[in-house]
Parts: sequence; structure tokens; C-alpha cells
Amino acid sequence: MRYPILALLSRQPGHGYEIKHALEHTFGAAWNPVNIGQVYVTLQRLERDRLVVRHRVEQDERPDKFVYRITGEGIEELKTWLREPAFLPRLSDDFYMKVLMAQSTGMEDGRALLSRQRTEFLKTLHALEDLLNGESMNGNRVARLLVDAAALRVQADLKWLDMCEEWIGERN
Amino acid sequence: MSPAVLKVILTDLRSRKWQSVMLFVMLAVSTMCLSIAVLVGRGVNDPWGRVFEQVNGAHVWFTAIRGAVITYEGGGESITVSADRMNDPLPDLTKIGGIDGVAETAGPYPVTPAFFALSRFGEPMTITALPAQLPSMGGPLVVDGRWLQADGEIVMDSLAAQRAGYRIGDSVEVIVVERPVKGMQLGQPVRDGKTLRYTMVGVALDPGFDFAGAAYVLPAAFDAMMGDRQPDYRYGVRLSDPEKTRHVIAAARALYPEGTGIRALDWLWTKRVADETVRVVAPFLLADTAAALRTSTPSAFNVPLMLLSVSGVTAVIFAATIHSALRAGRLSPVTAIKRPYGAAPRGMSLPARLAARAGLSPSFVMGINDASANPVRAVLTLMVLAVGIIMCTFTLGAEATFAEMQKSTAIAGDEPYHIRVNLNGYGEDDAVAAVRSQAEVEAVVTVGGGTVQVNGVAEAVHVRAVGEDYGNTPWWFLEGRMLRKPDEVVIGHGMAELYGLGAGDSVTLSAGGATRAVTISGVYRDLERDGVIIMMDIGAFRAAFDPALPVTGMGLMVKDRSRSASVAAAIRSASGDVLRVRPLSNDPGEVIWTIRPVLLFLTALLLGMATLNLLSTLFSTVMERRRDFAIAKAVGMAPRQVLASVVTGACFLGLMGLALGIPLGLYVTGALYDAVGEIVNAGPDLGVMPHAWMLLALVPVALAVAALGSWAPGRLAVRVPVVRALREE
Amino acid sequence: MSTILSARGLTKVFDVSGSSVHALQGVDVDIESGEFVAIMGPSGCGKSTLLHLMAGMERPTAGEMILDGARVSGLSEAQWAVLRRKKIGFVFQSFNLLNNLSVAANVELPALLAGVKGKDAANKRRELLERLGIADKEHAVPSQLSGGQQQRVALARALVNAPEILMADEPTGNLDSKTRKGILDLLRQCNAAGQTIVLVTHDARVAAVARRRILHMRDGRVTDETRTDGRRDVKGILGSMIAQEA
Repeated sequence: MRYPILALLSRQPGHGYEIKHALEHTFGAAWNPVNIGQVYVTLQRLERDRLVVRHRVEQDERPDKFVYRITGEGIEELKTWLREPAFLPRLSDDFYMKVLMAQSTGMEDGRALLSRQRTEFLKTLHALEDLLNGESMNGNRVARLLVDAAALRVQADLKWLDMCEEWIGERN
Repeated sequence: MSPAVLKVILTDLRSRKWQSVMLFVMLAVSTMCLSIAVLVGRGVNDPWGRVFEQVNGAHVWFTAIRGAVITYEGGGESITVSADRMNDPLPDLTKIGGIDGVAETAGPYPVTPAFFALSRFGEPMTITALPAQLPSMGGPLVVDGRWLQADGEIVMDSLAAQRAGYRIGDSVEVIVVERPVKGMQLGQPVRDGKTLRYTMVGVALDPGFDFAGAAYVLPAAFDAMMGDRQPDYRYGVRLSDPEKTRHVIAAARALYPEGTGIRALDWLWTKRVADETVRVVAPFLLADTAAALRTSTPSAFNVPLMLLSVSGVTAVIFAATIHSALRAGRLSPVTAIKRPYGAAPRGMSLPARLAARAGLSPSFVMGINDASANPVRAVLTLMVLAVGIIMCTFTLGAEATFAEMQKSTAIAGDEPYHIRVNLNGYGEDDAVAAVRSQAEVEAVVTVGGGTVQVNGVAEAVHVRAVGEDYGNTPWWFLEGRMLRKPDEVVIGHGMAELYGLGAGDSVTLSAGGATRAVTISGVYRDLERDGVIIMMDIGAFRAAFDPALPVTGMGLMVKDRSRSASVAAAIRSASGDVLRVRPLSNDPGEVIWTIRPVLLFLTALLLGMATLNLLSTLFSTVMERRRDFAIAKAVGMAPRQVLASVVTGACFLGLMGLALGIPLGLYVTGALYDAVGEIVNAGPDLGVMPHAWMLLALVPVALAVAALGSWAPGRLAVRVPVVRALREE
Repeated sequence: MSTILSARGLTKVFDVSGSSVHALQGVDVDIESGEFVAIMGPSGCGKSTLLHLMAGMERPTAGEMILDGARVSGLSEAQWAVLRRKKIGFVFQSFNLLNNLSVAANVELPALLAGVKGKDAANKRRELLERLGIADKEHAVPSQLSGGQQQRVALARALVNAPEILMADEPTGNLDSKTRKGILDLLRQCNAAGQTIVLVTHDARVAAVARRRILHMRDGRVTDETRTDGRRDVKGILGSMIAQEA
């Protein structure tokens, strides 16, 4: 959430709920609802890292709210982040290891694990496809692209599962 | 050509074995047909080709026959030899050499009739005395053995040697006969003649146009053979312009008094072989005709000509394929792969759309569409089919004509009489009474001959003056009808053409100062004088021109034609053997059985080609439409329906071929009849058109061809593998 | 719910220039009426062959099949043709329309082959083209249509005889993503109206259109069957995914 929030603040300052609504507006049905608690936690971390500053604004009949503004360092950090391309795919998901370890430890039936994993992935994929085809995504290109990204990843993982199946088949 | 290209070509041919084989067969057949056509064409127009060059032959042979009077009756020369004229001096043939147009002369050579002795009866022949030094013009051509050197030797012509079975070195028996006073009858048993022996040393071709066999001995041997009898003489002339043959003969005849016994045989005459019934067929019987006339087979078999026809076919193939080949070369590979041939998005062809609108089942509609989608290919296939149908039509016309000829050969221009009588001095009334006394005689026509001039033109036209029951004689009429009144005449086809006359025209006839106006009631076919003849009532002729015109002969019609011979014999004996009576054969059998096989062969050939062509076209179409068939099968077209679609397409083409071929066939038939008529100088319309029911019978023929042609491609279509064919797309 | 198609031990061996290719090695399949089944697998796994066998376009080397209660092993070509007309509709990846027939004629073809009268066939055709949204292309020729339109025509053709099973072999393989959605939507609608559909694809996202059953194939065998009953709520899915990475 860090960088999307920084990006939002780079345009104009805002307080917690404003940021939440802006995020929901940007990502539409792909990210709905946005967890306000998570927003505040991220803001705190950004403040700790001196990327944003917080001002107290007094309100009559309401508790004080804090308005957050991006700092110069924040802008630099954002620029750096934007400039840096990713070059490693993320394999931090558990399931890669699960599948491979299940087979080598012999503690779990690789095939059954695969099948369950596949079913789950397919369910997710179907849900993603439904989302893409649904009304709520109309007009929100950004949201569509994010969901597309997710769907493609799931598809790739499914293909990887096919490869593992081949491996398991050969071992037996 | 690089080996790689060669390999592609061979693989291509091998991958379509069927088509390649059929293509090859069709090309071979086409070349053969072309060669035959050229052959027959040359044969028809100039049967003798180079023969004259070979033998340096004479165009006309004149024979002065001792004691003979020559008359014309019944369409041919009649030579009457009378005893009291035997010692008359022979006319001087050398006068003919002075005629304008004569380039070279040969002879006069002494000749005599003689017989070969065979087991049962003698073969007639003519023996000519020729010196050991062969003449430069008009001499026989030695084809086997050698020419004469000694007096005991004889050289025979090839036909005679063949018939008699003589070979070189054999001893030949020759019987010299007294010339029968009553004229020469062929095939009569040999009567008291001297028998002589000679050794046959050679076989030659005699260019003399005579129908009797020919043989040669040296002059000394000839004199010994003759003893104190006088020979006839034979004189050959070679013309500077062969087309002027008729003129020269006319001029020669004009040199001598009327009826002088000079016989003229010319090369034009040999186009119509002496045998009447073979007349029409002569062009087809090149080999037989050549043998009968003892010349070498005409030179239509000619290597340069065959090479020409082969290269002609090659040129045609080249021209036909060059366009496609260039196009193939110019195709861009990507375009060609993306859009396979046959994927032209033109929608259904017109016939297919009509069929669909008519509510025909989809397999029929598909079949018709496949057959007609590519118009060029459809038209080409149609044309080949049409040619086959044209040939069929002509054959049917010939068969209809044959049926007519079985009834009477008058259609070809022969005299329609059953029996011919030569009065031979018998009195007219007695003769008529004699024949009428025969109960089996149905009609009697008296015939006399005269000449008139027509419409003031100088040339004399022969008149067939007829009397008694001439009204119903079944001559074959091209126009109009037989004459009924004394001021009517009918004219022969030749006259109609030459003078531009037709039925209904009025003409003025004149002879010896008298004139007479007559109306032409009809134009009929008459082979005598090539149809340049007028038939007129004899009473009218006598009244107008010559009251003393004699009846020289009679034509009789009997109730039962098969009994003509016995009736003729009865008449002959009733006249005390004075009347010369001859039954006329009406057997077109020989003509028919000579032409019929040729026509049937050609018809089978052309129909076979049409079937092959259809087969080839259908194969191509099925291969190109593989994908379409696969799709149709995928959506549920049963094998039966697939086969039906292919057969329907073929039948569609077959019926279109009929629609095109029959009218063309009728036209061609008419044109051919006219052409043949012209060749044999027998006038136009030398046959009848095929009957309507015969043409209707062609429908099952066309459908049979279609069914035959579509069976194999149909099976191929049925066997298209659905999945694989779709994957190939 | 009745079983429309039932196959046991389907095996197919191809002889390709001397060597044998074992395309299918003993496959058991049951298709229930109203199902939408997807068959997935990498290329060469035999899924297309399985579909062809089910449609009778190829004959199995071994195995039995029961279609609509009747045994269909050993039927002749002619009998299969009748079956294909009446009970099976097939949609191909490359559309496979007849290029020299109009759209209308293409759609009516199976009906006419089955002996349906011209007028009735025309009515059915009009109705289908209407439903699939291409009524205005009735008289066009396939080459004048876009890929998506051609596939709709193919779909109409497959449905004209109201088949028991609609089979589709990679129906969206030749289409771009936008048109793909349209075709898959149509298939979903057909299934919703009660049409049994068997879909073959290598693309998991296309298989997503199938409800419940996905058969996985590899090397001529069915290796897995997943049922994805129930929907997963993915409204906030991105939140969870992004939160994971935090």
C-alpha cells in the first residue's frame, strides 16, 4: 500500500479517510473495501520514514484529524521507486515449496495436493473472470488491468502445476 | 532442367497418378485422332498424293477397242462389240497427243484381253506389250522382282498376282480368248482359247485405272501370243493441268465420230471406284481402293505430316498451359498458403442458385455448384462432351440413312429400277410386250438418250427420255416431285448446281434448231453424268426435237425384288436371248458394313474421351473441394448424399453437353452430308437426319456417361477423412 | 439428470507413416444432461481426439460409447452422419463454414440434410441468427464476415437441429480477446437455457466459462477432474493479494 498512498499524496495532501476513498475510487471493485486500519498503519510507517509529514487540523465538534503531506524525501523515494524496474519474479508464495517438499518428504501425496491446489486456483480464476466480465469493472481500465494481472498469474501457476504433475508422473 | 525441378515434376505426376494417366491417354488419343483426320482429309481431297510423282503416271488412258461401239446407259459406259465391225480400222489415237493441255504421251501400246487359268474360271485381264526399256511416263512401277528381259517372261500387277496366288518364279498359264462378240461378260467360263505359259518375274503397279487385271510381256512374245489376230491399242496422256482432265477427254471425244470405240479412263474417275456400291465409301477405303486400282497406297502416310501433327498437338498443349504456369510462378508464397485455391468467395453459381430456389435437396445443389463454379473448366468439359454427342448424332444420322438405303439405294443416286434391260436391237413394242407379259413385273419404264442445250448454253446436256410407267419411279428427290405432264421435266442435282436451277423454274430446251419451254417440277439425285442430266417424257422429246429417238433400254420394277434374277432370266429367254437383261443389285450392305464400323469406332472413341475428360475434371474438383466435403460430412451429410452430389454434378454437365451437342450435331451432320455429296459429285443432302426418337435415346447415353464418369470421383469424395481434411486446411 | 453420453475405455491409435501414435489411452467420460464440461490439457494430450471420437468423426481403436441410451460403437458412416445431424452440434476452432454458400445456406444445411422442409429450416435459421445477433448478415458470404461473426454462424449451424450435445473444439482459438468474450458469453447463455456443452481448450481462462466440471488430460489420459462449485468472493481480492505482498 505504501507507494500507491505516496502517489496519491504526491498530488495533494489528505487525511486518512480521504486517502481510503481515493484508493477505492482508483481501484474500483478490485479493491473494495479498503481497510482504513491498514491505511493508518501504512501512514504511520511512512511518517516514521520521514516520507510524509502530519499536520493536526482542529475541527469544531469533531475530534482533531490529521492531514498528511508528502515530503521532499517522499517525492524522491517515489521517483526512485517508479524508475526502478522489477527484475525478479516473486516466488515467495508458499505453494511452490509446498508442492516440491510434499513430494520429496513423502509426507503428503503430491498428486492429491496438486489436485487440491489446482481446484483452488481454478476457483479463484473463475471468480476473477467473473469479476472481469461483471458490470462493476466497466470503465475502470486500471482495475481491469490489475485483475488481468492476477488472472494471468493464476494461469501461469496452473501451467506450473501441470509441469509438476509431469514430474510426479515420471517419478512414479 | 535441374534434377530438383525434375524431381518436383515427377513427384507431382506420381501424386496424382489417375489424372496423369488419363491426361496421357487423352493426349495420345487426341494425337491419333488428329493424325487420322489429317490422313483422311488428305485421302479425301487427293487420294493419290505422290503416286503420280512416283510413277510419273498418265492422267488419262485411252483405249481403242476393235469393233466396239461405246454407248452410255444406266450411269456407265457400255461397250458393244459387233462382229461386222471387227475388221474396221482402229481410230488413230495419236491425234489426241495434239490436244491443248497434253504435256506427255505414252504408247500407243498393243493390248489384248486374256484370262488367267484358275481352277474354276478365269480371272479376266489385259495384257499389254511393253518393251524391255520401261517408258519414262505412264509405265508400270516394278515393286517386286524385276522387269521383263526375255520373251518367256511375264510381269503381273499386284492385285492380280495376289488374287491368283502367284509368286515370283511361278509358271503362269494365260488363255488368250476370242473377244466375245456380244460384249465382255466378266466371270464367264473360259471358252476355246490358246493356253500359253510364262514365267512370272516381277510384280508391278499398273497406273492404268482399268478394273481388269494387268500383265505385261515383251512385244515379240505379244506378237507370238496374238498370231494373226489384231490387238487393241492403249494410249496414255499426261496433262499439264490435271484439273482440266474433263476438258481434255471431251476434246478427245470430239476428234472422232460419235460412238467410236475409244474408252477413256481417267484419274478422276477412279475416285469413284467402278463398283457402284463402294462409291460413297472410297475415301475411307484408301488401302482397298489403292489395291483395287493397283496403285500404291496413297501417301497420306507421310512422315513429315505426322511430325507436323505431333508438333501441332505439342504447340496446343504449350499454349494451353503457359498461362497457368506463368501465373503459378508469379504467386507470392504467403498469399498462396493463406488462401488455398478454390476458396474464391463468389457464392453459389447461377445454376446452383436456381437449383436451390427450385427446392432441390442440398446434396444436389452442392453437386451442381461444384460442377459449375469454375466456368472455364465447366465450359471446357462441356465442349468435350458436346463433341462426343455430335459424333453420336452423326452416327445416328448415318444409321437413319442406312435404313433408307436398305429400302432403296436411290438415295445415293443409283437408278431405282430392279431390272435393267438393254434392247440390243429388239423392237420397242415387242420389248415392252415381252416384259409386260411377265406377271411379276409391276412397272416398265422405257429409256432413251438424247442431248439438248439448256437456256441457250452451248454445252450439251444429256437427256434421260422416259416413257410408260415412269411416274412413280422412286428416284430420290432433293426438291419438288417427279414430272407428271409432258411440259414438265426433272433435273439432276448436278444440273441444279451448275445452272443454278430449282423446282418451279422454267427453262428453254433446244436441239437441232427446235426449242421447247418446260417447267422443272423437281430436282433429283442421279449419279449418271454427276447429275448433269434432265429427265423428260420421251413423247414430249420426240415431239419437240427428234421423232426418231430410239428407246435403247428399259427399267423394270418387280413385285418381289428378291426374285429379280429369275424374272430377268425369264425375260431373257422369252426374248430368245436377244434382250440383255440384268438385275440391279440393291445391296447397300457393303457400304454400310464399311462405314458402320468406322463410325462406331469413332463414336466409342469420342465418348470414351468425353468420359475420361469428365472423370479428370471431377477428380480435380473433388480434390479441391476436399475441405467442403469434410465440412458437409461433419455436419451430417451421409455417404449416399455425398455420392449423389458428385453424380448430380456430372449429370448436370451431361445434360448441358446434350443441349449443346445435339443442335451442333445436327448442323455438323447436315454439313458432312453436303461435303461427302460434293466429294462424290452426288449433290447435297446425301443422307437423312437422325429421327427424333433417336435423339431422345441420347439422353440415357449422356446420363450413362455421366454416371460412369462420376463413380470413381464420387467414391473418392465419400472417403474424404473428415478430421484430417479439416486439419489440412 | 440423465447421462447423455457415456464412454468407457476409449482408445485411439494413429498409424503415422509406420509408427503408432497413441492419441488416447483408455478414457472414461460421462456427460450429464445440462452440464457444461470443459476438457483441458496441453497440445497433443488427446483432447481434440476425444472430442472427435465423441462426435463420431473418428472411430475408436477400442472402447465403447453410449449416446442417448443407444450404443454407438460400430455404427456405419451413414448412421453416424444421421446421428451427427440429429444429436450432435459441432463448432470448430477455424469455423469451417462452406465458403461458397451464404450464411443462411450454411446454417440451414444440417436441417436440410435431415430432411426438414425448406420453410421450417428457414424459420429456425432466422430465429437462431436473431438470437446470436447476426440476423443482418443472412445473405452475406463467410469471407465477408469477421472471425467472431463467422463463429456465430458456425454456432447457429451447430444449433439448428437442436442437438443433445453441443461440442466445441477451441472455439475461441482464432479470435481476439474481445470477440472471445462474446462467444463465451453466448455459450454460457446456451448452457443456461439447458444446452449440454462439451468444450475443449488449452486455455484455463476459457475453461473458466464452464460451470462445475473441468477434465484435465495429459498424454491421452484423463489425469484430474476439478469441480468448482460455489463462487469465491473476489470483490476485495486485490486487497488480499496486495496485502500479502506488503
